[in-house]
Amino acid sequence: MFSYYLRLSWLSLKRNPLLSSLMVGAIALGIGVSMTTLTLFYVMSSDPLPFKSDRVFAVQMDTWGPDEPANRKGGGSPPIQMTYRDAMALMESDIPTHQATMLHRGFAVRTEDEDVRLQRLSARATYNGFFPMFDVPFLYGGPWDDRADENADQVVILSRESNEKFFGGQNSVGNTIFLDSVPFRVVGVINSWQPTPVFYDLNNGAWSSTEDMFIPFQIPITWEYGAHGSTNCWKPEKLENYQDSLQSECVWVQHWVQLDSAEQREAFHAFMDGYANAQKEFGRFQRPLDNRTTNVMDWLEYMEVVGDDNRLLVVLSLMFLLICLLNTVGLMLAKFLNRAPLVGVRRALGASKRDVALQHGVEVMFIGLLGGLGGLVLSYLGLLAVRNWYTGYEYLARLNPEMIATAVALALGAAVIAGLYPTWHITRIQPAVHLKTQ
Amino acid sequence: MMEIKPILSTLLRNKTGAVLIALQIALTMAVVVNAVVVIQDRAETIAMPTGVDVDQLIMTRAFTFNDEQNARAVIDNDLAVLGALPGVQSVTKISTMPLSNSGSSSTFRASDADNAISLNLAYYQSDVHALSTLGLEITRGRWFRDDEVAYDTDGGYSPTMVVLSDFAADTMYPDEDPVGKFIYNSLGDAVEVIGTYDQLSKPWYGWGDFYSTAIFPMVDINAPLVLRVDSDQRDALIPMIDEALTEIDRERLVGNTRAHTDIVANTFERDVAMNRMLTVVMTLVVIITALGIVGLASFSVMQRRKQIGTRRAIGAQRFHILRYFLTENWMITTFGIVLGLGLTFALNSLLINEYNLPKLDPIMLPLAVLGLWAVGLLATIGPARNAAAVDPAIATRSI
Amino acid sequence: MLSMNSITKVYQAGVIETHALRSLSLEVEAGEFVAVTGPSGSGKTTFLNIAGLLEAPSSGTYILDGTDVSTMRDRARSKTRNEKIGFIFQGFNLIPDLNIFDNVDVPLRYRGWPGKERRERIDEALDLVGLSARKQHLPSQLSGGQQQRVAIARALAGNPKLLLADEPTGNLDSLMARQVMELLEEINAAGTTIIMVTHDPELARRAGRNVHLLDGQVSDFQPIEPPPAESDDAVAQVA
Repeated sequence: MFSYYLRLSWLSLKRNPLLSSLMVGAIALGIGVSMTTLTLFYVMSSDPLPFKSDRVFAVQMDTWGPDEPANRKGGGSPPIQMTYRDAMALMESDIPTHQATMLHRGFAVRTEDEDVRLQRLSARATYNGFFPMFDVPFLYGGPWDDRADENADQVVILSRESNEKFFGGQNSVGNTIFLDSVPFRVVGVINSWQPTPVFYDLNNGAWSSTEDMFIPFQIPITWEYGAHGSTNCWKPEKLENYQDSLQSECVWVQHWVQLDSAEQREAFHAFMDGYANAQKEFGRFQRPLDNRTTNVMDWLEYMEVVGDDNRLLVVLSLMFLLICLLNTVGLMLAKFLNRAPLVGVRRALGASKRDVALQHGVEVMFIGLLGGLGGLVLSYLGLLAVRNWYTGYEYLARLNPEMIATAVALALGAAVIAGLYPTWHITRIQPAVHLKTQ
Repeated sequence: MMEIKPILSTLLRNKTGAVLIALQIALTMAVVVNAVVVIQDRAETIAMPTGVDVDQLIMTRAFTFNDEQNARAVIDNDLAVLGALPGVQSVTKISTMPLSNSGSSSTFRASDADNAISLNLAYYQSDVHALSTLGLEITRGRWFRDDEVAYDTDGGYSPTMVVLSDFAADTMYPDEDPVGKFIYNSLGDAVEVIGTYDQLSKPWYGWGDFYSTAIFPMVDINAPLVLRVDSDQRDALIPMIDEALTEIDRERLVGNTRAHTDIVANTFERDVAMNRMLTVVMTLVVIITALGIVGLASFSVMQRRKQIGTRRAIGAQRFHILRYFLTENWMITTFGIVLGLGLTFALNSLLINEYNLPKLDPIMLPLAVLGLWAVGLLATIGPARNAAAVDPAIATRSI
Repeated sequence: MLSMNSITKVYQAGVIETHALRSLSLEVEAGEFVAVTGPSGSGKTTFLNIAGLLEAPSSGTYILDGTDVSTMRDRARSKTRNEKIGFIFQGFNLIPDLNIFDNVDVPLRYRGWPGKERRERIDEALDLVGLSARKQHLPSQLSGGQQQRVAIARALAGNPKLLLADEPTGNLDSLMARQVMELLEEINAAGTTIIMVTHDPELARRAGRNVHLLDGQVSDFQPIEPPPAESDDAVAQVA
């Protein structure tokens, strides 16, 4: 019977192609627009570190000045970055399973091939705990060892793309590249790795790509380099030289820890508070004790990574979908009622109300399915447009299987909701009324 | 119109279709008006003048890793080479540019008194050529001289003089001549105000006053280079600049040469994209609603063919039929608009609370009403004409 | 075959009650060909709707083929209608989107028969009305008489015990009308009970028995029917 109803639906669509395409088109547009914004929203609010995002924490310590809080989030909270000296103090702790202080900056890079022009590449200077903590997948080699961190060894880990660029994708472990003319030994190549958003450092945009290479944190420090990011200071300090900046109250590095249990987290907090209280003795940490560890998802929420614009677009596009639905309800109702005499004939020939409801239900689903497919195509185009309009959305604006399933489900759901009233209405008609007239 | 009453009673007897259309109109109104509020707000932001001739400027960079060089000599050579390129009017070495999203700011006080006015100034550091390259105008006092510019200073250097924007000067010295006054940084170092210029925006948008800026006479060897060029030569010059700078010293990292318009566009990219998306949604909403009206009106005509024929048979002219359907739709649209007014305000206040949306300008409402009336009318005209074309003879036919 | 006892039907429109049938009682034996006549508004159509299970009576009992159908729910009524009753309408009421074959197929679909059986049955029914060659045509491609024959094939396809015909020749010219009438007589001769509503005395005379309705009741008095001045369609269409 289902295939019979399907055939009837097809005939019914064919009977009034303009109206049918209007209905299918309305659903497709509604789905297309809302799926475009929902996909953006979904990817933006998805977990960039699945399976362990609740065990990895951003660290904040309130080192700010006594007069006002570092930022107004949540009625005043600690700075979102750390001072160099406090981050180094935390690195001394062996409580976290993994931890890493980090910063981002660019280097001029070339290989041993002198003819190749210098290229500016981005690097993350960090500790080796970064890689296991963030589940970074390696293609060749692996993280540098603890001694490399201590001695600021000239070792580098390349991204898959950099390795393609410099070494044609070969296993380049043991090769040399030059960062600002200084030779570095390649110790590892990571596989494609793109957490979206790049939660660990939101300074350069939440949707930017991960760095081209990774080097030990102490390299830029030894070279007396600053970070490319933001530096915020509250204290009037005379900063005569690089050592002054390292010892200053300016915040400019990020610090992340992995704490696997509540006890571990408690112990780490006790360590931080103990350190902060000791610093108070030296006149630092003048604000009330406020040291925080925030897990990845809460951090993204706190940093307001999903912008108001995206929420607004979701609200407006859902309203748009609602308009499209109302449109479809109206058209379906008109279409079904127009067909009332034929329904009367079918009833006379033995169709029960249930049969009539089924027939129209199948038609509704059919329209919904077509609309959903159209909507998928439209949302694909919509996301193409979005990728075109925003730089750095390459990793964001993509349809994935879940979103495709959501689109189809949404379309069917929308069609069912839109078809409910018209279907109910058509089953209620008195068959006898329509048999005399044509 | 005398027909309103009978139309109304017909509508009331067959209200589902009318209610659906009215709801669509109401939602459409709410979506469109609020989208326009956002679009206008963003458009105003995007159109904020930076104080420089954006179309004529190119920004580039040449990093050196050789700290043995004489900064002044390297910079002078760069300026000379770039200045000789065709279509280049002037070149300056400057720390950053308006809306390039990178730069520094610091709070300064108007005097060393405790209750002095303080202002957060975004500051530029440049050589003497910035004035002509950016196209700034000195409004009071003077611009600095070449021998007053500090080249390649170390971290501890503090400049001794500054040129302020009119906005900054007027804020810090509301009723006085700022020239010759001193501003103080947080460490208490005094910097003399030697002059003021008309307008120059901050390197970023947001966080305080857009025109609260200052220029210090100091230059870093790795600071960007900005060129003022003939606008018709601009795009052709960009690769030439890269080439010329690379030629000077192959050990330097040259790159990111971009027209200032691109840099500004990049800064407002999100706003531009948001406006595009909203425009798309808005247009589609209107189209969908219009098509919905067309569809339902066609149906209602189709269902009433016999009735229309009867009316025609008993003497109604085509014009009367046309008017009947247009009036009917106008009433539905108007009902939708009335609902829409409430919905628009409700959505607006929700968005104000949740997303810091600006309040809607009441002038938009009459415009929206007129627009929706027009959409309703245009959408009904086709079906209404079909109705008017119904053959009166249909009334007497049984099938 | 059919037994109606004190059937009443009251339509409620706002505060006004219309008594379409007042205590109608009627017995029809299996194999009979009954013509129901009566002036406009006498309740002919209401009687047919109730007999065909399209409407439920307000009160009274209706026993069809030994089963009390007056209190059945929608699904059982639809099933009974599908299995035991065939309809022929004045306006043919073919489904315009479906070809002849598919039109005849409609009641069989609701019966849930397998495809092979349905095809055989459809072919038989179309053979009977002499339209086997037109299976793939759409109703709009046929003449009125042919359309009515398709409608008859459709009504017969499910082997109904009772055939209800509502002015079956009302929209046809006299030649076609005669053909359709002859077809109905053949069907009746083959054993199917037919109840036909008409106001054409010519047709009524050819039926085995005439039942005259007046004011929603069976009238014993058989008037000499004047030819109808006006079709009672107009009245029906308002309904």
